Amino acid sequence: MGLRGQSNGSTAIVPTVRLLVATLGSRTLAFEADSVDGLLTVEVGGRAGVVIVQDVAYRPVDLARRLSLQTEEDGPDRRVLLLSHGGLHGSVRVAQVQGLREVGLSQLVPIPRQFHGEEQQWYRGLIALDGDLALVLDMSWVLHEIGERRAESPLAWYERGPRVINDDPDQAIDSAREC
Amino acid sequence: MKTDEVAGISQWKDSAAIPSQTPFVSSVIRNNETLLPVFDLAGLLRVSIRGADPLCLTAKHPRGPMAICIDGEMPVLQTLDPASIRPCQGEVFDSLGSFASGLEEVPIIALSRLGSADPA
Repeated sequence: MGLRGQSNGSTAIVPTVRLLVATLGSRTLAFEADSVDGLLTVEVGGRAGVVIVQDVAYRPVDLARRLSLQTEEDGPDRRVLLLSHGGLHGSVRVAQVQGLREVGLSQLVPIPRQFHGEEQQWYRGLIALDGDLALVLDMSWVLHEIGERRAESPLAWYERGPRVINDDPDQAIDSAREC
Repeated sequence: MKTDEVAGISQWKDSAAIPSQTPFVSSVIRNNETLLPVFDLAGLLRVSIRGADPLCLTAKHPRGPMAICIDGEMPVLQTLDPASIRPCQGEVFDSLGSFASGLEEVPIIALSRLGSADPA
C-alpha cells in the first residue's frame, strides 16, 4: 500500500470465457455462453423441426450424430439449446444442462496434435471441470451445417413444419443456474 | 520398441473419450497436470489388454508424447545386436524390423510413427 493509500500493485485482468455446460451421450460438452440464446424444454421446443422464437428460426442440429454419440432416451432433464453464431441459428438437444461456468482462458487446453482429423475443427479445446473433462465445442462448426442446409430449397425447412413458440420466451426458457 | 522412443511407464488411469476421426486416437488420459492423447495400440493389433491393472507407456512422438495402454506385466529390457534385426513386412504398423526370440519373431514397433498420416 502506497503513502496515499493506493495500492502499488495492479490488478491483473485474467481473460475468461463463459461456458454453458451440458451432457449428451454421457459426454460433457461446453458451449460458449454468448452463443446461447436460450433453453427450452423438449415439450416446448418440440422433438424435431424448426423452432421459431421471436421471429428467429432455429434449425435442428443433430450433434449426437455428428459426434457419433449414443443418445439417451428423452428424460425430464432433456433440454433444447437455442444457439446463434455468425448469423446462423440452430437448436441442439442435450440430455442435461449442468449450468454456466466462467473459467480462465488459460484453463482451455487445445486438443493434442495427434488428433489430426476433422475433429480439430470441432473443438475449441478441452477443459477440466469438477474432475470431468469437458469438450468445448467450436460454435462455427456446430452451426456450420445450418449454412449448408440453407443453400437447399428455401421452403424445404418450412414444409417440414416449423414450431412457432408463441409463449412468452421468458416463461418458456428454463434458466441456467450458475454452478 | 526402442527405449529411446519410450518416455516412461506408469500406472494406467481412466481415459476420457474424445469423439474423433483419427484412427486409433479417440481418448486422452491425464498424466500429472498434462493431457496425453491415447493411441489404441491394442485396437490396431486387434488384441485385448490382459490383466486387471494395465500400465501406461508414454511414447515419444513428433507431435508430442502419447499414451499407450499395455498389459500389466512390466516390460523387460532386451539388448539386441543390430545385425540380428531383420526387415519386417506385412504388419499393420510401421516397424523398425524384427528379431527372433526363441521360436517367435518379434516386430519392433516404431512408436514415433504411430498414428501419423503424414510425417510430422
